[in-house]
Amino acid sequence: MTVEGFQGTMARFNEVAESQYDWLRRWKEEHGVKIVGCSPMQFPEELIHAGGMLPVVLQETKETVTEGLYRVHPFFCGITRNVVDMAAKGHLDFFDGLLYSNICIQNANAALTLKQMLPGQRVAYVQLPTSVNRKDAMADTVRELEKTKGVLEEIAGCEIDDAAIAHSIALYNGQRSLMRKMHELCGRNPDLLTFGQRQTIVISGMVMPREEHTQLLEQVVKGLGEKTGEGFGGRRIFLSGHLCQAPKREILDIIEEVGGRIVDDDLYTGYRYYALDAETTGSPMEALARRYLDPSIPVPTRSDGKIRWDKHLAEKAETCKADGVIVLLAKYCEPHLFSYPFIKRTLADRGIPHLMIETEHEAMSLEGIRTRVQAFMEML
Amino acid sequence: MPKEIAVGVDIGSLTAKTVVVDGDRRIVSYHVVQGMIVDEEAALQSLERSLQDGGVGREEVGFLVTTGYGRTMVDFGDKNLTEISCHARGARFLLPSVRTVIDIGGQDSKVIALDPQGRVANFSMNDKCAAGTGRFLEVMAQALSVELSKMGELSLTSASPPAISSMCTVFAESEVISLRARGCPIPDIVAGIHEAIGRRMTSLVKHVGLTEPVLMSGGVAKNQGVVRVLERLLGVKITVPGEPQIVGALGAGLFALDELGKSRG
Repeated sequence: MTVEGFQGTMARFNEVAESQYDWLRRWKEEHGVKIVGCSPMQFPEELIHAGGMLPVVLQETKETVTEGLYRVHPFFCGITRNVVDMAAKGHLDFFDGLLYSNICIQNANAALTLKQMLPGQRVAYVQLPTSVNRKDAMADTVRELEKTKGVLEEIAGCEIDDAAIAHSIALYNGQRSLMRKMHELCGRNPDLLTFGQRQTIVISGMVMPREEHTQLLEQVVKGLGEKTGEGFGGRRIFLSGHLCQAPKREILDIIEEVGGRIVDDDLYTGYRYYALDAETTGSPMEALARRYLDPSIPVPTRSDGKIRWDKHLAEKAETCKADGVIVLLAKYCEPHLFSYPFIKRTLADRGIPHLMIETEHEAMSLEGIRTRVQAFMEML
Repeated sequence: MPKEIAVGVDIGSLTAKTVVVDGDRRIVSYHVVQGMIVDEEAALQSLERSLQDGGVGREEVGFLVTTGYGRTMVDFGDKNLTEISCHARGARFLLPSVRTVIDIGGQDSKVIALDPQGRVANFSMNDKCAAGTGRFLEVMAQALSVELSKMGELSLTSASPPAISSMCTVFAESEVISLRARGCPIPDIVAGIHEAIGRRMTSLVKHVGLTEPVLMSGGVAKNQGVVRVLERLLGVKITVPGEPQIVGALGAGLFALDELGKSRG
């Protein structure tokens, strides 16, 4: 891939990732395709895609929460308050449907709030099992996905058959596979792309048509594979946390500016999003359910009871030979707050240094964060 | 002739400090510029005065490390390091057995845990607001019309300090003015302010854990009232160096000396 080609592709990804709602509105006017948004984490987007609609994972924007202030509690996390605020301002009115799930109490509350705020739009609540190793978890997941498929068929105005779902699974698997390849290449040499660029690629892949994204990403990954050299300077950092929103770009830039190189992560807008594929044989609905129930990538909102996030994180950090772990914890993210004491203790027990940064939707003291991150690098 | 002089410049939010160190790890001179908005000019002033006081020419300086809030603001440094690393290094130099450093500066407060080898093992710093820092004390001193440097001494005469419930600088200022209007004696109010700072610092200390010996650095360490409160709340003896404000600059100077050593092989 030429430098110009790479820059053009990144500009396209950036345009989508930086202003997704404006971009989507224009895209819909141009293409006339229905758009269904879903709250982050674990919802099988393939079902939306199989209905001939554009699936979009809702992202946090930089917009200050104003009109949505009184709709939800001020002690709700930034992305929840931000999405409700966007709805209050009319920025979500072009969505043909919104799917919210039970990943946390705040997300569930947002579903009810959005339902009330957007009476003309279909807002559906998806109740997926939270304990994945119960014997009836598979049947419950399939039943809930069938119910959701029914909602999506109403929005799409057509039936969603197994062949269409299988086709969507194959497309998504292709996209995920390319993202994993990018992850692997950049893990070996983080200087191939900044982590901010990698985030742009993943986030745009949650928004734009997956066919186009996959095609563009294929070229980028091919180009990365052609680059030589694995040596890089700086501290090897494992970036953890942010269960359902993207990290603030400024923080990622600071980490790299002061000498950190992110060699692995467990972010939602990172490895957790593309780690697992769905099976391409057998019943596609069961394949989607199995992917959801797969406990190998732990997350506190879908407990397994056997695989603990803290231990998994420590093992991953050790495997990638991280010098340290940076934990990004969104203020008021209860599932993460419940897990963090275990993470802190396990990392300390294993002698893995870590720095926790609490992030907020509103303005943060970036100079203070710079000092803390730089001091952490100096400490390693 | 090899350049044996190393310099550390700590550019804080309210003060600029410079320490000049020679090849035998001796402090040649130091200078603190305070009481103004710290910019590049103040940092330069601090540097030039300390060089002048030490009788050292600029051309004799082999390496210069900047630290503090404004460490990247100036262009005369050879390297920049955070105040966390530099305070730890300076404290270790002054008290070789030190395991905990409490630093309260103009707008930062931090607690640094050192391992037995003197390396930074953990740290915690204020990340949301500057309550309980030097600037907080300055505002309170203004509200009470007392000299900042007299606050420590004044608080030691207090019989019954009131609880200052708010740590937001603006709200605490209102609270202090209300206490004054109700006739609360100034020494008591000052002691109440120190108690509030002490409680806030205690929670930072808990984040990293407390191991003795403890050294306190930064301008607020000059306030014996705050030091006494911290000693009582933490149940430890705190060592305060003769000039606590220059600990960070001293650490920067020592790091600069390391670099000089490296360049000489």
